[in-house]
Amino acid sequence: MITPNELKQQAQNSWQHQSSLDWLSLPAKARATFAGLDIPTRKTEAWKYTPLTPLLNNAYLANQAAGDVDAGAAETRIGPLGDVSRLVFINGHFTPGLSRFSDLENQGIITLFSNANDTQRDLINAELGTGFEPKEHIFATLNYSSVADGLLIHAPADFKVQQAIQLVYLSTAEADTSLAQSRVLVCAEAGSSLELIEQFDSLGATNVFHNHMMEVSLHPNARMVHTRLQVEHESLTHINGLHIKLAQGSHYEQHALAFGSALKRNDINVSFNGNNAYCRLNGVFLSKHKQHIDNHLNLEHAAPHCNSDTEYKGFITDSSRAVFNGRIHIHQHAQKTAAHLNSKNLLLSKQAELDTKPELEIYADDVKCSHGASIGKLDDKSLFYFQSRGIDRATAEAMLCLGFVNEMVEQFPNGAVIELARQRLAEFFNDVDKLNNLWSLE
Amino acid sequence: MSDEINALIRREYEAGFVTNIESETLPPGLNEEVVRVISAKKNEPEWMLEWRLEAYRKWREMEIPTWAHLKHPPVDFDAISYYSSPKSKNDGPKSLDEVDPEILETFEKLGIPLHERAKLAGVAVDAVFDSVSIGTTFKDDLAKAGVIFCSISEAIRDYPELIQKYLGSVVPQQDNFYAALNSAVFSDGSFVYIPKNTRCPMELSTYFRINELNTGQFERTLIVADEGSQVSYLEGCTAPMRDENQLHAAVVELVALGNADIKYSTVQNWYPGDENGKGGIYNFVTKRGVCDGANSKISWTQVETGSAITWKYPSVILRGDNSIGEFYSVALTNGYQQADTGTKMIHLGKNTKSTIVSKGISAGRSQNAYRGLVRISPRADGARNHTQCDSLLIGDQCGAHTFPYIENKNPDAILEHEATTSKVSDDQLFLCRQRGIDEEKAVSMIVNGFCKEVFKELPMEFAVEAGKLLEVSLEGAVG
Repeated sequence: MITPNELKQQAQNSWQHQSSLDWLSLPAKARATFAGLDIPTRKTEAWKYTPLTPLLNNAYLANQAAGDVDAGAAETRIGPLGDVSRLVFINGHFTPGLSRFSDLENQGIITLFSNANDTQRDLINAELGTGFEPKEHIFATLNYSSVADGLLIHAPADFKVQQAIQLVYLSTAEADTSLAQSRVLVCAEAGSSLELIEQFDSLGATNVFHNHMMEVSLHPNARMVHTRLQVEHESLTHINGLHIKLAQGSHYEQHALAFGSALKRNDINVSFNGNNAYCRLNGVFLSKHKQHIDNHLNLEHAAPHCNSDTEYKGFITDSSRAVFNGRIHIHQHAQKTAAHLNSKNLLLSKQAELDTKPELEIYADDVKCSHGASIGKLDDKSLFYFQSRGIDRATAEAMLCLGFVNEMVEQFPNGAVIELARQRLAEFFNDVDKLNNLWSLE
Repeated sequence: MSDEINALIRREYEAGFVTNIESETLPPGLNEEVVRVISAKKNEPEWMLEWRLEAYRKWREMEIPTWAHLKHPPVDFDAISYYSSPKSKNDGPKSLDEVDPEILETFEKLGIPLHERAKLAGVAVDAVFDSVSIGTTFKDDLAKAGVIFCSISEAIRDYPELIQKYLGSVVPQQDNFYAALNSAVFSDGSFVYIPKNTRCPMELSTYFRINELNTGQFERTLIVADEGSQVSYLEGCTAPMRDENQLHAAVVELVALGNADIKYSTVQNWYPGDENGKGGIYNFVTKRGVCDGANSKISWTQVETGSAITWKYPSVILRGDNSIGEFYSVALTNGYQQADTGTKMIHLGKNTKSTIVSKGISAGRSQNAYRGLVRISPRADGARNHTQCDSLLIGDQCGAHTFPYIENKNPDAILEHEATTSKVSDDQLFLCRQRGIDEEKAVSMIVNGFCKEVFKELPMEFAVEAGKLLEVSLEGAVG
């Protein structure tokens, strides 16, 4: 085990072997910022419940993950989602053989940073790294410290992207523990709309630390529907930053399904910068065995007349640990805001732990804000209701768990994604005591 | 907002007068010598001095906590005098008749006439003036019931075995920065012991007042309720108007043994500073109770309307099976006041239950935060918690915040947390005005209704005082 300082040193050493795109201004800035930051410890408020043990125990940062893969196995794992544009990244590396997005590429809507023309370079230089406070997100800063490539999704004004865009990130087993990094910049011009499906998956056990970043900028009246499946193998270490800027009248909707792993951390940061923007965050996370999952949501209401609805559910069993932190921050001028956040959790084991912290920070008076959090076991009355109708207790418990998770999955906007999510859930529940036949109950 | 309303918000602090009496005050600054002098002045035994010095040494190594949602210039701990006592008589007053009439008059102005109120209300008052307890009423009646109610200095001399057993048992010396400071320099406070199976015949009460300039008040309260006993304790606080910020770092420890029941109520009305945020009390208080035995209960009720800064988290450690912890709070901030207050409920025993009801009202340019922790240990089967935090905002220059920490390690526990933030709604106001109630009265009614859940937990006399305090502060504060 190394110390946090040694980890930082390891990160800085790794930069010597990594080159960034020469026209990109961000990496130099990010390196300077990173040098001034400390690796979070238990005493860092935002990391209070999430120790970085896997990062300190494995020399992830010493090696860069490669992007080699058995195409057949990858194709099978990804699963067909029907008529979508698809981009596949293996350990952070773009894999053309598995991707098909020529329509959108030709229209200039999807571009790799390495293929960007001058206009696109300017856009990337102007937008990348502007969606968050770098000092508060050390892993985002690490991500931007060396940018070999990235993905730009740019929807022109008033353009409706018809096909959903599927981004697949596969993690594999490497020769050595190694670091995989990827980043996406989404820029939706005024009045445009798009649907994005992110699939974080793996081919069996993996020894990779995947550090992913996505920044989304929705211009006035733009609209984005975002589905995120984080269904990797539990051996993965994954830190994921998602930073969203909403301009006037824009609409952002997210549906997430996430499994725990050795360490999984999701930071979602939404800034309301224009009037009448709307954001919905729906999520369900599940953890078992010795997994760890941490969800940090931050809603910055900086403009008036914006609404947000957040609904998160947690399913925690075995010796796993889950964290949910949802913060609503209403700035002084953000009058007439309605922001609601709800966290419901099912804790099923004596060894499991759930730490939740719903926060409200409010500086405007004419607002309606609420948050709620509940943690409990399966409801005795509901179980009794099942049993009184001749359904045995084990089945009743399984059905209640199914209902709990399914309520969120059913809201996914895309039928094919729901199907994929169900397959992964069936795998997840396969070795969970009493719940392994869960999906046959339907 | 109309001028009239602004005038009401900028009301004068009614308890802000200074009492001119001779007092004996140590020069500012803190070192081992000061601790020794305080201990010597109190004629304390050697073990007590050692205990203080241990706390002092630990305090020296500790850092000022900065995690609270508070902004204030750093406190200069060397500019504070750590001991101030009215008059320099070596032999303190033995009865109320010997007490300086001016001091009594001070209490009179504050509305706690020791003689009268005690008789009428049946309240035994232990009044603490700066750092010295000046007289305890109704001592004899309590003695008959076997109840010990005296200043902590007396208790150290007269009941050393109880003090040695319980002092620091709930809040250890090194618990936090301000608790360590208090442990080193506490000058007085109250001690209560309720014997087994005794119901305390009357409500006990302490009234704190900071008078001297540049002094800190560090009182220490210890309440021990033996098995099967019951006690209700009231605490009130005020301070004169000063330009400087004064420090108040108290420690309150409650111990409830099996089947015991302690109810602790506070109305805190320290000087909040002037309209520009100048002066006022820095109130850094550590309050904690432990439900040590089965079926015991500790209930905290607080109405916090004063202080420039409130940093206070009355907590309950639910160690005994079936024990109950409660926290009812109304925190009002106005002007430039800042409050970061809440509670901790630590569930260790089986079937332990806790209820948290927190009502925060922010007006003016104030910041009001609820910060709470509910922790369920793996052993606490059947634990139950319900938390409700509501905030009311009056004006667009203030802030209301909620930081609840919920940590659960037991699948058999059920926890609920709810929080809402809103302003006094136009609909409610309209409904009242439609029925001929003027706006000020309507707001007062709505705010009182908002706080009703907490007020009903207060003992009668305090409920009236608390209601009045809020009314004065808030009448028509909605523009």
